[in-house]
Amino acid sequence: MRLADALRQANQQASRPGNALRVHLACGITPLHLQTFLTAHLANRVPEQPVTVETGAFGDLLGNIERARRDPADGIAAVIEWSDLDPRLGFRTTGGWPPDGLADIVSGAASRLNALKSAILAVGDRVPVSVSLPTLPLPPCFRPPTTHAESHALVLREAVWAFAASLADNPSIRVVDPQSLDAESPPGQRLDLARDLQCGFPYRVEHANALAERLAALLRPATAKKGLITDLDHTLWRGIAGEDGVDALSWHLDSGDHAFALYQQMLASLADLGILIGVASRNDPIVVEQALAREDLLVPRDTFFPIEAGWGSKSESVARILDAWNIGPQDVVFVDDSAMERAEVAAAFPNLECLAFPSDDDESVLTLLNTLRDRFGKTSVSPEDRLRRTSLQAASARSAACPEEFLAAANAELRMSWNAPDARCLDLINKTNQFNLNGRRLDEGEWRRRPADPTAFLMAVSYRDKFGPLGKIAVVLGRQAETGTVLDSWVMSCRAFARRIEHQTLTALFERLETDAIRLAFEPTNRNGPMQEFLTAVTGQAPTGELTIPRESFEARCPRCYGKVIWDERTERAADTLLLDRVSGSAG
Amino acid sequence: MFPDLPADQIPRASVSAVAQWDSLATLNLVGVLEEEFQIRFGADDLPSLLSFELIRDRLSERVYAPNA
Repeated sequence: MRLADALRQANQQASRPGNALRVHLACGITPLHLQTFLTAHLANRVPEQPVTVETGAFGDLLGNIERARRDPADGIAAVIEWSDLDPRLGFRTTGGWPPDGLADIVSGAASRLNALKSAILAVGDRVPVSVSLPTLPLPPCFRPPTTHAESHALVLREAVWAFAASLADNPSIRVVDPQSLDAESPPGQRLDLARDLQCGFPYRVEHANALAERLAALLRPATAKKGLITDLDHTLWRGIAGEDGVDALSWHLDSGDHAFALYQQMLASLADLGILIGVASRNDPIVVEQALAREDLLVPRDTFFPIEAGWGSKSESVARILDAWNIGPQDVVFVDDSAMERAEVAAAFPNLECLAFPSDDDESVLTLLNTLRDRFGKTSVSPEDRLRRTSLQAASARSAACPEEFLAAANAELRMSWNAPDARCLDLINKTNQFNLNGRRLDEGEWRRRPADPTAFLMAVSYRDKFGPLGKIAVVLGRQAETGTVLDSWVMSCRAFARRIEHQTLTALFERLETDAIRLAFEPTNRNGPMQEFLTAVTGQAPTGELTIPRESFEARCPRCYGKVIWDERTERAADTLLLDRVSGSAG
Repeated sequence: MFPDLPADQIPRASVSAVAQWDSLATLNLVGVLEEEFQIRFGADDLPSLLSFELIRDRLSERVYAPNA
């Protein structure tokens, strides 16, 4: 992004309606263009919301972080430079670089890193924090020539890496990856010494842009894609299975086809994260089965589901895979070496991202692998992620069964938890589109503040049946308003459809809250058709906006449900304790 | 830079005529001009970039007669 574009974006976004996304930019430098770029990149990531980036005092990084902690916003971007660890490591002071003073600089920097660590961990308890490690070159303050790594410089860098590693364990604290930054902003082209000396802004414009882009991406990460559909011939392996024969297919170093092995390795890694991997191949299905059964394949055969092999168009295969996965094309990436196949799929699914497999260009394969990591990468893997493929396979196997017979014989068990928020709940709220009350998303700051509201409640539903567990698949956020019970959010994973879990969820809420009616903050969206169908079925009319469901009429329309409902005792106790704390707190 | 400034007033824009034109705006302006014209303003240039006219003159010197 150019500075002129960033300024334009920063100006234009300010007039957006709604509550602003507030972010503190905590740094010791003059924020100048970094603030502009951060505003613009955040505005690109939250296109329906204005963005405000607030800054602090020059030269007081630690104080700025602590001030941000006292005034919680929606996120903090903490930008550390060497001069924040000791002013003598910057260029704007002349405290001296005596050789015998280096130990003092190093020990002082270590103390400062400890203080920064405490401050960042404290603020990370409340809001997401993105952190950048020193990006500028150290000054020539060490004894040997600049080509010679001196021990004090190495110790300094070691201290910074240890500091970063200790922060990176915390899920709310995300450290900008130096390797990613190096790739876009070469270290030797970052410092603008003239501007640093003139006004305290030490970054070249291009570096400010690259750094801000990463800080914004860590504060507002893109939603990870859910599925990858891959071609086989000249994509998963070198060769054409039907013509060359299964044994001739290659992905080995000694035959010069190792790039295919790296791609296989990436698919296996993505599958371990819970990413769905499907196959769309113009091939004989029997040959495909034989090829995928090869024991030296780096992706286990059962990783692939579904496998669409045949002679129809790729877009038809893709449509069937999306149907089996029950997710939209915007959540999927298609990889194929053939430009024609990619174009055919892209024409049928404009929102589906089609990536080329560069079968004759090893260097470009690395670019593809990095792109896949960016599209699918996630910081944590939940048990539900690992269950996704097996539960879809089971659903596919039983899809022909009579619903009533199937439900009655499923031995379903619904485990309800009350006021026990976890990362999976937030994940569900922010990623579910179809069975979603209103499409509203929650940022992490809002999520963390929510338990402090004594009127708020959260119910989560986990499900299992004789085919296996689905894990935590539904979340309801509500509150006890003066006018009665209101549900602000209600989402359920598409994997859990057709089991009447939504009916049992509402029944459980009526019972738990001992209420005769529940108001739902429903809003129609382009994608919440399944929620609209459910509400139509249980109220007798298509919903258009907020609505109230009386218990009596719901129970009259509710079909028979077979699942056994179990309230999670651990969360019951935790909720009781929370309630007691609140009561004693308010009494005091 | 100054979204509220009408286009016909740009030629007369200056630090004294445009309320939003402060030192920060000057630095932003310098950054945009350097990016657009692929030039660098030195420390000596900054205090003189106080109006559209002065900036235009300075740019003419730097872009069209860079060694002058």
